[in-house]
Amino acid sequence: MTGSVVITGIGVVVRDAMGLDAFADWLMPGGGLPDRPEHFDTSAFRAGNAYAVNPDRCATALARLGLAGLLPESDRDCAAHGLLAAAEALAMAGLDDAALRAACGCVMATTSGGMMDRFADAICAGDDGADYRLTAPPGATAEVLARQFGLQGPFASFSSACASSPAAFSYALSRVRRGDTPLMLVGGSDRMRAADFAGFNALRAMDRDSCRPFDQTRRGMVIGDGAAMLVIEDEAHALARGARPLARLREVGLALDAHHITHPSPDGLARAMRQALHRAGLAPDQIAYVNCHGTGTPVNDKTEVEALAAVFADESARPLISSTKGATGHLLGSAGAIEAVITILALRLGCAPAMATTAAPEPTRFPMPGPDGPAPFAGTFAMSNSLGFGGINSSLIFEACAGDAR
Amino acid sequence: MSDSIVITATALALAEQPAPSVPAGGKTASGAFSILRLPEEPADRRHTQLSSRLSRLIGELASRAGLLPADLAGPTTGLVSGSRYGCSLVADMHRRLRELGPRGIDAVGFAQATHNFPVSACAIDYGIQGPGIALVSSHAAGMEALTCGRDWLLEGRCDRVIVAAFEDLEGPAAAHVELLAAPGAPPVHEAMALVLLERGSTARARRATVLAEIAGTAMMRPGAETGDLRAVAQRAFGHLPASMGILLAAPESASPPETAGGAPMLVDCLAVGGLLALIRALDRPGPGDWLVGALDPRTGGIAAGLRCPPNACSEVAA
Repeated sequence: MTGSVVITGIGVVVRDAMGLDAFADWLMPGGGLPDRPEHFDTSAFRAGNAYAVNPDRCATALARLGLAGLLPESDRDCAAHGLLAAAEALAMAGLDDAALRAACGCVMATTSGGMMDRFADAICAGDDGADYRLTAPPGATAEVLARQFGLQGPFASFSSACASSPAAFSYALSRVRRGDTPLMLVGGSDRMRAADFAGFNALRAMDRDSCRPFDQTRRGMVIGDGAAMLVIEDEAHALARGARPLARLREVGLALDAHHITHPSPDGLARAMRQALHRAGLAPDQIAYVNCHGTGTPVNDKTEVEALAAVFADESARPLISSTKGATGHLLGSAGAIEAVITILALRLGCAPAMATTAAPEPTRFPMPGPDGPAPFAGTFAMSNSLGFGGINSSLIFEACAGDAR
Repeated sequence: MSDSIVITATALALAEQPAPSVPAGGKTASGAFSILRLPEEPADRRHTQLSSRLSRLIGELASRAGLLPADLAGPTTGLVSGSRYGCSLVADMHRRLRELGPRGIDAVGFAQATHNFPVSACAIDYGIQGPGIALVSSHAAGMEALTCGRDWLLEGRCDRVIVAAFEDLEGPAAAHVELLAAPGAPPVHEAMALVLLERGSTARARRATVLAEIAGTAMMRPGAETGDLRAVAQRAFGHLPASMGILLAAPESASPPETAGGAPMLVDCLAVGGLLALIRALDRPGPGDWLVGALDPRTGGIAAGLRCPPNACSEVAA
């Protein structure tokens, strides 16, 4: 074990793209606009647009990979997104060997995760709920993935609101660095539910049309769903078996606000960023790009800029910042995982995705991509921040590896 | 030289007897099956039953550790929870939406239905600003939380960590537990268990009583390694102790640890089982080495090696 941990595989499922290359091609010019989800009716809600993965596309992709039939038809839900993304990540990492997979652990992030809502519906309707025997608990997706791919290493499932994914990365990183296993499958998978719509509508945190992070006219978020899975691996182990490192996972910062359940405080996020920088042995001016949480709510974006300004105090050396939620939507528990992937893509391509919905940016005093195209940057290190309900803050730092762009 | 990680206090709420107001569960195919519920907890509007209980037990934990509630404030204390079913209000929110439509969901209720709400609400109560996260995972979730807390201390993220495990078997969670119950299964107990981890240097500096040192942890693969607890102990302690007690919590369907290590089965309290095993081990008189943990037959488990010094005994409160 070297202590250096690299990413050797990535898999992505979002509304507009299945697969990393398709995702990069779609995202970098700015992505697309949200629309009405196809798997449930949102007409009763004040704001009903979303970035929802089409369940039929998902089922077709599962069938193509020979993964259909693993779950009862009704269970092709959160776990289905995770299965597709995990299959891509494991294949990219070259983990075909059963012994390697057996050594590999599985750590997932999610918000509601399992199928407890459908189980509850079933028993209320007089059914025994047996279809949901294995998939109802919130951590069921991780169990499905571990079983399907023969992953027998360290296991865990995190549900810490929108900061769930960085928590999973932190646990996975510790398992590899502590020598519990040389490699882990880690990421997030979520499927939006009507209750998510109802909750965020009740909070008046959603925009009827589109999410416009850091825009002067921003009114709120738009929910998305999908999954992003990554294989993280001890660098020496990866190189010894001929795997190609895509980036290094340098550090994770974690901090609570202890402030308010729904209202964030800049202090907690600033501490998470400083912790990650300190642990990585980096100065703020070494960070070239920050993928912000950037939900597009008035309060979140204002708070986040305050925290960024506190950490990156030297205005002459501030990083490029952006939010990609105007392109993907807010993937809730898996937001941190998809944004980790975007941060890695940005490092590999040397540019941050366009912010197509941000036409009138706030004067944040940080450089930001415009709406018309990706913004180039030069540097080796990039950060991805996530904030969760209840004041859970986190910050991931990635380092570019030498090699080709993708 | 790395610091040791020690346990300086524990706290436990375990439903040992059915609460008078709660009927004894439903029926399995082969007979009665009970879920023993903890009694109702008074909760103010900011709290749920679950977060209120956690807040109260954190206060007890601090008191047993010789700490004031104010000592928990700031970035030097972390808080992590582990559970199998998490926050039962998630399912309740779906029910209200189904029955009442969007107007049945309010902002506070939505926030309270997130699985990390107990952690966040208690962090606000006590001003805890270190790392904080919630696991909603396997039967070993309590031990996963313990592993998280130990990581944070070893990595210098904070000086002490409150590790919590709980099961709140309200509504659909109870129905699901019953669905999974094997014929003739013993009752499942609702429970909440807390362990205070500190860096050895922090505990020594404030002259705290050390109940045990965590020598290490060992991951257990599903099925494969549960038959050889000597190998697990070797990894957890860094060597094979000359003698040790073993307490592993395992659900009914797991390979019984008794066959390999002479360990008694504990009551089934799902993800709380691992921390309950730990607390039970600390409750035994005298010094000694203990291998404690939890095992999930589908996803494996985690065992911790405990070194208990002489004259240290935790108080266990029902």
